[in-house]
Amino acid sequence: MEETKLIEENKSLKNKDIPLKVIKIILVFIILFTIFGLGMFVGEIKARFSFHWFENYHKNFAGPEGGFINDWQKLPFPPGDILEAHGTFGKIIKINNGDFVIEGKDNIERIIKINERTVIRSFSNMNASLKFSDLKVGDYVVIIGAANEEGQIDAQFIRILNFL
Amino acid sequence: MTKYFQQLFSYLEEKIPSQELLRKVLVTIRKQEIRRKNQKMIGFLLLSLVAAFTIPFTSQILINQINNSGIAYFLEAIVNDFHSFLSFWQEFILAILESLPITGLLVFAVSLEVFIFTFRLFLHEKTFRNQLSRQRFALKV
Repeated sequence: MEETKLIEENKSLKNKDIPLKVIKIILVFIILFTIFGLGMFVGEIKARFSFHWFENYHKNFAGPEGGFINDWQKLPFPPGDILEAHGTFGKIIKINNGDFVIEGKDNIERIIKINERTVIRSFSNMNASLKFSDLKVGDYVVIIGAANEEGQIDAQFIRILNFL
Repeated sequence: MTKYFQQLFSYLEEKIPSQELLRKVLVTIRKQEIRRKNQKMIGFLLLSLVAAFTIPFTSQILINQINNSGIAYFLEAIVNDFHSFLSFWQEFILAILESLPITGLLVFAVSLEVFIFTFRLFLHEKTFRNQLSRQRFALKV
């Protein structure tokens, strides 16, 4: 008699566990799909920027007139990895009027455009706001911004790393 | 006829196994169980050692990828200039997501997880084995 009672109690406990398990499985799937979706979203942004960077390389940094994309089999260099579109870091190798060129990781050069809203800060003096003219060739900088259609980055925040 | 049979079988005593035999059987079962536990313990210990051996390499991969990705600079910028982070939070978050060292993180997480999992199983088997040995010892005594 007691045994059957115990078996029934056990069954009811198991039945109670089923909705919890289903909820857990659904949650796991939601998390997995979110991560997958986020990866696809970020990957697409990076791929688009890499394409624009590559397509406009001849305009931005000189190269064959038709660009590299027309003759992709004779590419002079593979970028290795697709490029980040919203943040980069590296050494300033050239300063132009309204933009500058950095040599980033894997020795890939990028043009960083500056506008009047760009915030420039120094690592040594966190609160002081610097000007574009304060940037020098050889400075190491961290850039946060957004990619444009010309394969450049419109900087919104620049931090000069004086300690490097 | 039936009467003779009844007389014949009335002389047979009911066979009850001795306590000694029962003890011997139990001790042998425990011995076998302990042997199996020992094998499992050694297996899990070896696996956890292999996993522990890979942790320095995978952590080195992760550290290299973190250094190359620049994620540390972005995080440093957030920590030291939170006001700017609040102003450009979307770009900051996208920059961090883009530079996440996914491969390094995955490899490191897997090696760490395997180590923890196998080491936990090893400890679990060890505890169980100790219980069995105590039982076996009690039976022997």
